[in-house]
Amino acid sequence: MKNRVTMAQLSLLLMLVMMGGKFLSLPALLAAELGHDSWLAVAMTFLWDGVCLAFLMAAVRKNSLPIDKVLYGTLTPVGGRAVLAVFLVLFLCRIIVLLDSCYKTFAVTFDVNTSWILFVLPVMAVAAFAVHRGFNSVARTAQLLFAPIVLSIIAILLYPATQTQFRALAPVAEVGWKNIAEQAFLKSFWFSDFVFIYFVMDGIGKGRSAPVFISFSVGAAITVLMNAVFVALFGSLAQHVDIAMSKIGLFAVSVSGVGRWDWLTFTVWLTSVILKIVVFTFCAYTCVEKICGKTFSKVNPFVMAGITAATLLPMFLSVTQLLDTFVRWCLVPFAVVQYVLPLFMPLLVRAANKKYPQPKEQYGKS
Amino acid sequence: MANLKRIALFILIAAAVIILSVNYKGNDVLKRGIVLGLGVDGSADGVRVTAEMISPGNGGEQVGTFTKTVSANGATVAEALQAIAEKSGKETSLGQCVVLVLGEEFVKKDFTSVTEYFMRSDSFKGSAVVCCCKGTAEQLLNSGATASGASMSIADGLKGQSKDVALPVSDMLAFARSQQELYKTGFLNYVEFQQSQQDSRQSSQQDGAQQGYFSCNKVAVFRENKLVGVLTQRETQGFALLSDDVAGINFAVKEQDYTVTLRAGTKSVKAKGTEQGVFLSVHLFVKPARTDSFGAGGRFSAKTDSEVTETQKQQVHTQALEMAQLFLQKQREWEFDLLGFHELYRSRYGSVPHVESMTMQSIPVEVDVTVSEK
Repeated sequence: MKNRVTMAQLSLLLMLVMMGGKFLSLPALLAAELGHDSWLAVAMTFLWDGVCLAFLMAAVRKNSLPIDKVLYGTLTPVGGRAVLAVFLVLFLCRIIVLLDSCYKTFAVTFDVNTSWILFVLPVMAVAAFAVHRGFNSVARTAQLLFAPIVLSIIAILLYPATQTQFRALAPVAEVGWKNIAEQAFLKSFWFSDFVFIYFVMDGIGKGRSAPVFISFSVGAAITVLMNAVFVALFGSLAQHVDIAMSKIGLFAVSVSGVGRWDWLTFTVWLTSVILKIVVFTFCAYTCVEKICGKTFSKVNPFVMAGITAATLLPMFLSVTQLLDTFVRWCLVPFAVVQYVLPLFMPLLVRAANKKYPQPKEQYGKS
Repeated sequence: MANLKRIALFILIAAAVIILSVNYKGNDVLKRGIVLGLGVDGSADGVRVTAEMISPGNGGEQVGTFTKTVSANGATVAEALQAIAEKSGKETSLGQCVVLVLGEEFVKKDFTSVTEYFMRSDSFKGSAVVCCCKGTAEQLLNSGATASGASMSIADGLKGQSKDVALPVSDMLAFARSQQELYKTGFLNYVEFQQSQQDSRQSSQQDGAQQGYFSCNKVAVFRENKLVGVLTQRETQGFALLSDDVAGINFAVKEQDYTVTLRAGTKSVKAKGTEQGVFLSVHLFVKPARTDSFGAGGRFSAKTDSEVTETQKQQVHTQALEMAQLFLQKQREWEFDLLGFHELYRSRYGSVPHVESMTMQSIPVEVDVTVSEK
């Protein structure tokens, strides 16, 4: 089964996906609204993410059905397709935002200019290849890249973290908990990276789910730390820093005085963003498959072309506009699949498994 | 058929790779003018920017790295850099720039646009050293003090040694923040080119280059991107004494009929903001200045046998208090806050108007200095 993934692989992938992408434009957006309290909004959202992940993992442990069967069997086929459609839009929006951040990063950090089409095409080609090979290949890649990516993040963050005056984060919650909670909700679109688990839930091997929670906690802690370091270092200037990791990386360069070793660590870290785009493309592709009720034996070129066409949107609409308009309007439906659905998943899974009983041996996944 | 498919796939991939590589327009390193240091002065047009650029040796006889300076005027820094690119035939690349020098005359007027430009630049490092110089930045960068170029010498002097020779150093990020947050005051290192008396005649006869060194033992104070004044060397030492991350202060103390130099290679500074005012507690760890290295090992160095007498410690205490009071007096007089007193209150009470508007004269400061031997 090409979409099979072990608990260990899932844990590592979850951590990489959590950290990939949150160090780009999100910190500046949060800093503009909350100043030095933005790390609290990140921590708060992760807290809710953790609760949802716990419910989702509880459901996964008792499940052997794919997401479409669970949804169609409990919410009716129409309701199930509606949920998958929301997922599809969510994934497309996240892919676009991530691609845009990557594109800016290349132009800003590496001084490489290219057209949007020529930037998107190779990334989508890699994603198509990953879809063809199955989720297992993505998980294996995450396993291979895990150590270098985490070491790069540590290398980038370590020096700035030692130079940070954490006193700048006081007083805690100066803008008020209500504002922090409000911003945590408004920026929730950027979180709930565990949602990809829905689309591989029938292929997850048996095993203890503790590593998943450990990697989630470590990923969350590093992301919160990075955010705290960022706002403490840049203060009132934080809101003007478009690509947070790039500027923090530049700050770390002062270790060597001269030279750009940040380019090396930054490039390695950037592969986690590409990996995240690939994971979300896989999920978007699976959504289309499930909505259409077909399982393509190879990569369907029309579906991939459709997803790629959607990623060309930033040529006509800036990503800031996309976030301020469409994503904002969709926040509630997005929040339903991101944060409400996981809470009901154990019940839905139980009902669906009763409705479509599987031969006992199929539960013995390896 | 299978072979044909493979060939077609290979051709497709090869074509895609060629198309992509052609359309990814990176800047060739030979077309880049790698800037090591920048100087900004005022001009009739707006600003005059001087860039010290790497000029790689491309002949068999030239070995090593050489630099050259190129200057141009413009209404803004961006425009002047564009003019420099036109003059040098290379696109100016600021990613390696280690120092930004601002001319003294130029900083007497508001230079917010310059600070904003560099702070928002995608390639200029926030950790790059920013300093202010006597005379013009152009003269300083053209002084030819060392073979490696003025920029590297200044950056090395400020960034490399500062923490060991009692010299606080400001970088772009710290300075830009200081000019727009809370009390809106900050500092830049003040650099002077000191010409060597003996060499001046010889060098001027030989190649016109001046021989000398860069003196960086003072700091200039700024409010909202405007020069307030330059502190004296003694006041700068007082500032260094009260700064947490700077060590290496020397104290000349008398013992019977001879003078001993004691170095505070390690210290600890704690600041506390209370209703009654700011309480600064400075603990100096001193030992005789005999070695070449400055405070090697720091707090974790091995304990040495006791050599410093109580009388010497008392003298260090008195001198340190004098230095600190000298600086604090200037801080009250010129109304600037380099030690972050307002930040102490902000972290306690939040960003409320009464914290931001507190004058330095209204904040009583108590300093406690203790001295021990390490």
